[in-house]
Amino acid sequence: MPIQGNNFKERILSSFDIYENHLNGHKDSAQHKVRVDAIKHFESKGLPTLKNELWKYTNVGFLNGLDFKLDITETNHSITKEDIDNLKVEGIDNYVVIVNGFYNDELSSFDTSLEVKSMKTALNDNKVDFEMHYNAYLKNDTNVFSSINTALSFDGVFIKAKKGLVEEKPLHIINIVDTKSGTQFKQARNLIIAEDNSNFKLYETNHTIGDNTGISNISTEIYVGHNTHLEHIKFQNDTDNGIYFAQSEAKQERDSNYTSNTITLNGKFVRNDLGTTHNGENIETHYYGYYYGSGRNLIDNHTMVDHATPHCESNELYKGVLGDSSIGTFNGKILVRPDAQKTNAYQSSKNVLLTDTAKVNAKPELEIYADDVKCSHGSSTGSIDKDALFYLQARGIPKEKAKALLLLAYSQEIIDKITIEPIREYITQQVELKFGM
Amino acid sequence: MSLLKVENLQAKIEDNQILKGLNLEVNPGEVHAIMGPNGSGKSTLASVIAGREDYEINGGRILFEGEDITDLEVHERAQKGIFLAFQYPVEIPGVSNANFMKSSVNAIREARGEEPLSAKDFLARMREKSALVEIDKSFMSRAVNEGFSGGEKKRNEIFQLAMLEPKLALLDETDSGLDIDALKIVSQGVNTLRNENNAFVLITHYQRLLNYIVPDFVHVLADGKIVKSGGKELALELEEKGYDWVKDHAIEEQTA
Ligand SMILES: Nc1ncnc2c1ncn2[C@@H]1O[C@H](COP(=O)(O)OP(=O)(O)OP(=O)(O)O)[C@@H](O)[C@H]1O
Ligand SMILES: [Mg+2]
Repeated sequence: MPIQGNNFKERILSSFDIYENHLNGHKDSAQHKVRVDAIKHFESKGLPTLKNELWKYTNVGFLNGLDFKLDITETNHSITKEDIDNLKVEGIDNYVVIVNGFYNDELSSFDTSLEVKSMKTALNDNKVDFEMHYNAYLKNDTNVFSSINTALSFDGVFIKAKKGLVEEKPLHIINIVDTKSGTQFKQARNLIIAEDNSNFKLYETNHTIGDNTGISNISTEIYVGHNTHLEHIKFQNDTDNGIYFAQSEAKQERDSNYTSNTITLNGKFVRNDLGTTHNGENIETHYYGYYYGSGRNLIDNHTMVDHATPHCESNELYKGVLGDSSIGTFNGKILVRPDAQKTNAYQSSKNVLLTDTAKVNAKPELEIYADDVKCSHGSSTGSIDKDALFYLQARGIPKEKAKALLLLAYSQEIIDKITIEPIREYITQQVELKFGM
Repeated sequence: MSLLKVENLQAKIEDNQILKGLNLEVNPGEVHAIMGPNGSGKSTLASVIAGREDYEINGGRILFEGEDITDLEVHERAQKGIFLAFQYPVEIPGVSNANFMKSSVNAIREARGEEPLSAKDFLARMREKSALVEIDKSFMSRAVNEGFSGGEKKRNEIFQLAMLEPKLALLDETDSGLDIDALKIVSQGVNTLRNENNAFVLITHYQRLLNYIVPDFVHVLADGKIVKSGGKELALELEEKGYDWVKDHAIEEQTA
C-alpha cells in the first residue's frame, strides 16, 4: 500500500498505521505501548517550527518536501564489504555496521570483550538491561525526533561493558543509509551500557551511500556507571546527500567520566542533540566539538548538561569554521539545579567566519539555581586573524595555504583531545584534505 | 642595479596619509639604518615594502632588483627574497615553529622551481640556524611565538631570517627589548649572514645596535619622509641632539 500525501507528519503517521495493522495481536505488549505513546506525542507536536526555542535557528520544514520511502520493516540493501572497506579506519579493527537502521552482522567484524549485538537480539537476551535503561534517558517529550525514533525504530546496536571491564580497543560504529533506490528516512536506536568501573572508547560515523537523499535519525541512550570512563567520538563527514539527526542522551553515576567529541566536516544538514544528566557526586563531563561548514551545509549542535547533583564538573568547548554559505548553530545549555552545590561548569563556543555569506548562531545558556558554584560561559565569533595571515605570507606561504594552516591549527585544539591515535591522525588528515592541504 | 628602490612612495590607511613621498635606495652588500620619532612611519614603510594590503599606495612605486613590485602580493615578495622581521612578531597558536618553517622554506623553494627540502636536510638546517641565534631546540616544537618572551620573539625572527636567507632583510626594531647578551647574539647572527649579495635595513631607536652592526648609511624618517641621510656618525649626532634638531634642520634646508 503506497503512503499517501507528501507531508512529513502524514507520512510518519501513516507508516505507523501500516506497521500497527501488521501487528495482529501484539498490540498489548509493553514495548508497543511505548511506541504508541511516542507517536501520539509526535502527532500532537508535529515538526518543530522556528517558534520553538530549541529550533529557532534551524528550519526543518524542508522535510515536508521530501518524497521518501518509509517501509520500516524493509531490510534489503545493496551495501557490500567493499563499501565498508572504504569507511574503515586503519588501525581500528573492531567495527559494527548498521544499515538503514538495522544491525548487520555480516558486514560487522569485531573481537572485543564488550557485549555487542543487535537491539532486536538484546530485547530478548537482556531484558533486565532494557527494563533499566531503554527509553529511560531519551527526551521524547522535548524532541520529536526522539519520539519518532521511539515509535519507528526497530533495531540498532546494543553495547555493554560488564562491571570492571576495561577494553583498550575502540569500537567503530558505522551507520549507513543506502539511498541507491530512492530517498530514505531511516531510524536506528542504540543502547550503550557502561557498568560500574568499566572503561572503553567508541567511535561513531555516519554515511549516506547512493545518489538520493538519506535522512538518518539516530537515538542513542548511554548509561555511565560508577567510576566509569567512556570516550565517545562522533565523526560526521557525510556526502551532500546526507541529512542527519542524532540525539545522544547519557546518565552519569558517581565518579564517572564521560567525554564526547563531535567533529563535523560535511553533510547537507546535521543536527546533534547531546545531553547528560548527573546522578551522583564527583562526575566529570567533557564536551568537545568542531564543525566546518562549506557550500550550503547546515550544522546545528545543541548540548545540555544537567547538573542535578553536587561536586561535579562539566567542561565544554565547541569551535566552528563556516565558509561559503554555510550556517553553524551552537546552543549549549548548562542547568545547575538547587542541590548541585560546588558545581564547576565551563562552556565556550568560538567561531570563525570565512565569508560574508556564512552565518553563525551562538546561544550559550546558563541556568543556575544553586548559590555556591563556579560557572562561566563565553562565545566569540571572528574572522581569520589578519596579522597571523600577514605573518605567514611574509614568510612566503601563499594566502590559501596560510589560511589552511591557521584553520588546521584552530581545529587541532579539539582534535587533540581524542586519545585514540589512529583516529586522531585520520581526522587530522580529513581536515587537511578539506582545506586542500 | 639597486636591490631596492623606493620612489616617491605615498601610502595611507583610512584617511591617514602616513608616507608622504619617500625615497630610498639600497644596494647589495649595504646596511642602512632608519631612525626617527615614534609614529613617523618607519613600520609603515617596512610593512608596505613587504606588501601589507591594509595600506593604500597613492603615489610612487617600489622596485626590487629593477622590477616594479608595488602590486605584488605579500608572499610573492617574500618568495623573491624580501624578509620583514616584525616589530611585534605574531603569535600563532597551534602551528609549531618547525612546521611553520617547513611550510615557509618549501613554499619559497617551490616558487623557485626547486624540490622541497628532505626531512634530513631540513632538520640539519634548523639545527645549524637555531645554534646561530642560540635558540633551544625545544622551541621548534612550540607554537610560533606563543608564550615567548619579548626577547625570544625577536631572536626567533632572526632565526627565521637565517633559515630563509633573503636578499633584503628589513629589521623593524629587532633590538628593542633585548638585553645586552641577546643584542650581541642577534647582532652576531646578522653579521654572519651579511655578504656582498644581500642587504639589511635596520629600523631602530638606539644607536647602541649600530655599534654591533655598523651601517653604511643612516636615514632619519620624520613625518612620512626621509628628512636627512648620512653616514654612521649621524646616529651619534642624533642621539646627542634629538630629532628636533633634524626636523628644524630639514625645514631650514627646505626653506633655504
Ligand atoms: N591601522 C591604522 N589606522 C590609522 N592609523 C594608523 C594605523 N596604523 C598606523 N597608523 C598610524 O600611522 C603612523 C605611523 O605608524 P608607524 O607604526 O609606521 O610608526 P613608527 O615610525 O613605526 O613608530 P614607532 O617608532 O612607535 O614604532 C602613526 O601615527 C600610527 O598611529
Ligand atoms: Mg614601528
